[in-house]
Amino acid sequence: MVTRMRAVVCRELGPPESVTLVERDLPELADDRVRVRVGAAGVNYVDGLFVQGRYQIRPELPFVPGSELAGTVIEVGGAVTGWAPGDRAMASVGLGAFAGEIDLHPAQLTAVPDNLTDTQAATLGQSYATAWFSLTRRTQVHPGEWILVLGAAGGVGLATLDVARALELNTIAAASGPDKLELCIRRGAHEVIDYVTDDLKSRVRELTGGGADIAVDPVGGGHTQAALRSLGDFGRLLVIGFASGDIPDIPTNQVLLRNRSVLGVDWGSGP
Amino acid sequence: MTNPTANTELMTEVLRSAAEGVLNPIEPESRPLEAAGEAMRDLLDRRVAGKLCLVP
Ligand SMILES: NC(=O)c1ccc[n+]([C@@H]2O[C@H](COP(=O)([O-])OP(=O)(O)OC[C@H]3O[C@@H](n4cnc5c(N)ncnc54)[C@H](OP(=O)(O)O)[C@@H]3O)[C@@H](O)[C@H]2O)c1
Repeated sequence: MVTRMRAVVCRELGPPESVTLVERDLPELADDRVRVRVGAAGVNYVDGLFVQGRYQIRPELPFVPGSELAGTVIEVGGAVTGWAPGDRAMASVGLGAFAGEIDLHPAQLTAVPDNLTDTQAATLGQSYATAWFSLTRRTQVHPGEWILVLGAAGGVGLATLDVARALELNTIAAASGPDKLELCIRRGAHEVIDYVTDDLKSRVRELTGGGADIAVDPVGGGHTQAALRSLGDFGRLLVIGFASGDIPDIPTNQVLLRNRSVLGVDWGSGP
Repeated sequence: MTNPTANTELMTEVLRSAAEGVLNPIEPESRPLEAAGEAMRDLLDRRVAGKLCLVP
């Protein structure tokens, strides 16, 4: 039986390097909880924002960062049914995943499909839920449509490429530098654009013969306007996030032209 | 999104598609728990191609 656990702790908001790894006693498991041995914890952009105090929600200090995980159930509270030691489980938790063990409410847990590793399962929740929500709930997509994905070698970007491929879209991956572009090709992107060295709008227009149908934007900054201008008739721009740190203004004449739409995406996975 | 039922539905669809092989999630780069700070820093600084996870 494990009695000690390791956890990454944030004691004060600041640079991500200021977190520390501590070892502490495992508390007794509450009746209505399930204890999971963390096999892997996904690291997302948002985890760094939490630690810096730059996220919409500011957690109380100290806290253990880490918003998603997969692992194995090692102990089950007396009032819990449906889970047993040895079961594989994954969860989106907001906070607490950067630890050896975590106690969770059974409603937070989902069974891990047999064909996924813990490391895959730990890194797919947030990004795939966002991509799936975007392309099946916020807009309707049709096989053969062209989709432009910004930040395509990042978490949301790679998930969007995969979901878009599954939905039979034609994909254009935009990212910075040869390594990221090569990864996008390996992940099945039909076309790639280096949006740092190349002109995004004219490249997209060329590749699609008139403009993209959908643009997915987790990056923000100057790329957002270029993506909007690269859309064809009835094109949709999905606003996901601002990894560049810059929240752009959108010229509404560019929305009016060609009957475009700008759609917000807010799949929250905060605590 | 704040509707828990809708959230669960969404994840069920994603995981069913992954189990059927319709979706094919990437195998991430693994780092030890000690590297948490550096991993968060690398993401914020745009240095990561692909996904990252910590393996305790
Ligand atoms: N709305 C929602 O429901 C929702 C859900 C999940 C995530 N998000 C948000 O979406 C954004 C992206 O998340 P993610 O998990 O995909 O992050 P990520 O894995 O770090 O990817 C972000 C990408 O943005 C690009 N980027 C451009 N300028 C950057 C800069 N100055 N610093 C860092 N990255 C830069 C990078 O690609 P290049 O180097 O190729 O440009 C990077 O690959 C975050 O703001 C996150 O909070 C929103």
